[in-house]
Amino acid sequence: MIHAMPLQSNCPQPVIKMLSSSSSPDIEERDSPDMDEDSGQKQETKDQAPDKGHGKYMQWQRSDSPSPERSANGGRGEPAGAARSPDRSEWALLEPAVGYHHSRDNGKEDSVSMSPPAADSAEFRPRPIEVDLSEIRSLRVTERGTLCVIIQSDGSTTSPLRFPSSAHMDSFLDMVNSVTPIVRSCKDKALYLAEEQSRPARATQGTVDTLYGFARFSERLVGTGIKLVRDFHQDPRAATLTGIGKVAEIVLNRGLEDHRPEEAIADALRQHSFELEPPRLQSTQHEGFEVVTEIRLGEKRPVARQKPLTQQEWDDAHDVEGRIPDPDALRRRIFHGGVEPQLRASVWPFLLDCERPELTTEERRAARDQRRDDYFRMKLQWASMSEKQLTRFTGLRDRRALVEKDVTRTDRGEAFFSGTSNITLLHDILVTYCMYNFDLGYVQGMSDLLSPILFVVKDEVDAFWCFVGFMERVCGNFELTQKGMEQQFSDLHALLQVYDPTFCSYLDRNESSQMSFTFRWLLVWFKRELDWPDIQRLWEVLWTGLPCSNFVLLVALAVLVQQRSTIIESELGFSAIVKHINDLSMHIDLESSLKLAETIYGQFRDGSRVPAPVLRILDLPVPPESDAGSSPPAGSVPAAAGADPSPAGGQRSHDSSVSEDERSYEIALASQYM
Amino acid sequence: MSGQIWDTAGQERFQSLGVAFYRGADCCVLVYDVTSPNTFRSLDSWRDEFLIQASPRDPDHFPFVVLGNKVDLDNRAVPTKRAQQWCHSKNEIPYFETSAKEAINVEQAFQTIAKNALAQESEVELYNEFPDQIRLTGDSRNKQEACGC
Repeated sequence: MIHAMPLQSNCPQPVIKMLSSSSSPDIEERDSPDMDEDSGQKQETKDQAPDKGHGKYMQWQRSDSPSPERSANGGRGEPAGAARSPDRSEWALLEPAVGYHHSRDNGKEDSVSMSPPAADSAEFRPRPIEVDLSEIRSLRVTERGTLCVIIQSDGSTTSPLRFPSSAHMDSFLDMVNSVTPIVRSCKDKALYLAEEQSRPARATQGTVDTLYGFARFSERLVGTGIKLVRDFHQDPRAATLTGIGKVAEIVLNRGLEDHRPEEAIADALRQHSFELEPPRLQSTQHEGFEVVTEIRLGEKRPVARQKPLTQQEWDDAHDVEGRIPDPDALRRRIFHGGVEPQLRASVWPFLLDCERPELTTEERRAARDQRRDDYFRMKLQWASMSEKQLTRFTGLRDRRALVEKDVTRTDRGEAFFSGTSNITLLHDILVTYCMYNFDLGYVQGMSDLLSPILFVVKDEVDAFWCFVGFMERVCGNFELTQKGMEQQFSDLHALLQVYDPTFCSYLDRNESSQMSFTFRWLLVWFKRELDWPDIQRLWEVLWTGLPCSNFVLLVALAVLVQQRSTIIESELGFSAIVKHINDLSMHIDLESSLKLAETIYGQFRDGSRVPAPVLRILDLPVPPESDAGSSPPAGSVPAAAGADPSPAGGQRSHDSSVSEDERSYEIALASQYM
Repeated sequence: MSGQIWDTAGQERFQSLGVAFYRGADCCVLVYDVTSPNTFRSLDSWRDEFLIQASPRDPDHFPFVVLGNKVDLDNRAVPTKRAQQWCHSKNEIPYFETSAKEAINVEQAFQTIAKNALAQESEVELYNEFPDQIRLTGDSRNKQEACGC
């Protein structure tokens, strides 16, 4: 992304003005020689911006643009020519390099062109930049003291202001400092923070305040804007991908285009008012420019959880011969409400593909006998080994040693596992699993996955086969290469990037983009985060495979985004984030997290222009190229047709490479706009 | 003054995720089991792995501490001398024989770890004192520059 546009010779020089409301007594003071003013004219704010209320304003204005204030200048305190800084002519309003302008020639709406704006482009006339000095939250100075961005308390940022040298910057900062004391951030040397006490409570009736949702919008952004903008400059691409760095630019530049800044802002806000978040932008790099697309998520629809499945419902789900004619309906029911605890021993084997729904009671009995035989045959394989044999079987001996170490520290706080007999059962099942799947063997974490199952089904053989069913779903977590875990981290990151770009960008900047702080969550499906009853509820919900096979990622996303403000406002860094996430253990509200996860799923499903790779993570259909552009606006997607999520269609493949994704995404974009 | 101790223990396959925690460490404690020669032999690779992942500025002088744990057990298999020699060969790494179970030498080991970490920390800070790229003239700003948060 280009911020620094070379000033063209025909580029008119802007002027900087200090404006003050007529009632402000500070006008004279601020007409100090420190102010790099072009004309140094003081101006009654009301002439220019009647609704601004009281306060001190800085204004940058193109000197070629109509400047009614010159004629309207009442001549109060006409500054002496000496007030002009010799540098003033070099102060320049940097043209926003990334414009949110409609390139109508190719019809690519929403696209951002990186080509330099044509000097003769009538569309590209900036409106004056005005900054209420009391609203300055911080200034970020980069590029060796030559580039400055002003972040205001509502999180909005000015376009980058380019100074010819750091000396110019210094005098500018001095000038700001004389009005609004600023201190250099001790955390970030490029950041100057307006001092807290100098920030009066916002007492304005300014136009922006009347905008729908603006106050809340501001609230959400305050405290995050500073860092976001910093990121924008340190890593423009990442910042673009994650959004907020751009929101100010978009708002500003829309204003530039149509000269109706407030309406433009209002529009922008209205579009996002359903959650008062900045736009979600997806950037695709092309040669020399990038395409930025705005992703819209669907409406945030609250969902209700149901009561757990009852014995009556379970019985009714079976036909007279004991088959379950509509297993999908049963899964949907369980997805929405879970299962009554006393029923779990019967239902879990069904959820874990251990009991097959199409079998009659008679057939089921036979299958169970078969499973029993299989289990004990495998158990005998290791249990019958002599010590001498074991000494020559390192592979098994090592696996057994690992199992022994872990089972003695698995859920010993639960009465069920406080004694030794059930610990022995855990051990036996896990070692038998080693025989069943010797290549995978035993990996830490498996004992955590088995213990609730054993507790629920109580039977060694059933517990083993249920565990096998569970492992079928999560064995990727335990691979030697850890590819499965890494895939989940990157999937979770991709989801967060779309769902909450602000938060995602915060994590990226705090060395947490790898998402490894969610390792324990995903490895053992929140086993260490939830209490005993809750973990059973979560797992039976997840085992339904609804609404997608990766729903655990949405649960993780839901838990995570509930922590966003804590993490951001506390400015947690890498290790603090790990600590905070670990400390959430036993403090997670499962039902609300499940609800939010389901809501988020709906938002992704009903969204438009959600990138195909993200849709694939959630088993959502990727719109065919031909009608990628005709996706209806959010909310009217044929979501109603899929009111109930359909069962997961198996594991999605993780084979799509980044370049492929990008390519397909570009193709989708192209077809959308051509 | 507070320290963070990250235990990257766990099965080896999970170690790839542990490397994220190596960065920014001020001291690395290598622990082996005196009853298990294998664990002693792998000290080399753990040390190398740490240095690669953490890439400290001055690898030869990065503070390590080696602990030979489980000295409470009878079936000792790694002689003290051998461990000391290894530590000597690696630029005099401090070595302690400990028992977490019996709390033998644990206190002393952590004292040394903390001391060396602290020394490392201040060294790094000295190193980071780059001249500021932005010259400041505003005095109120300059005063705040050195705040310690």
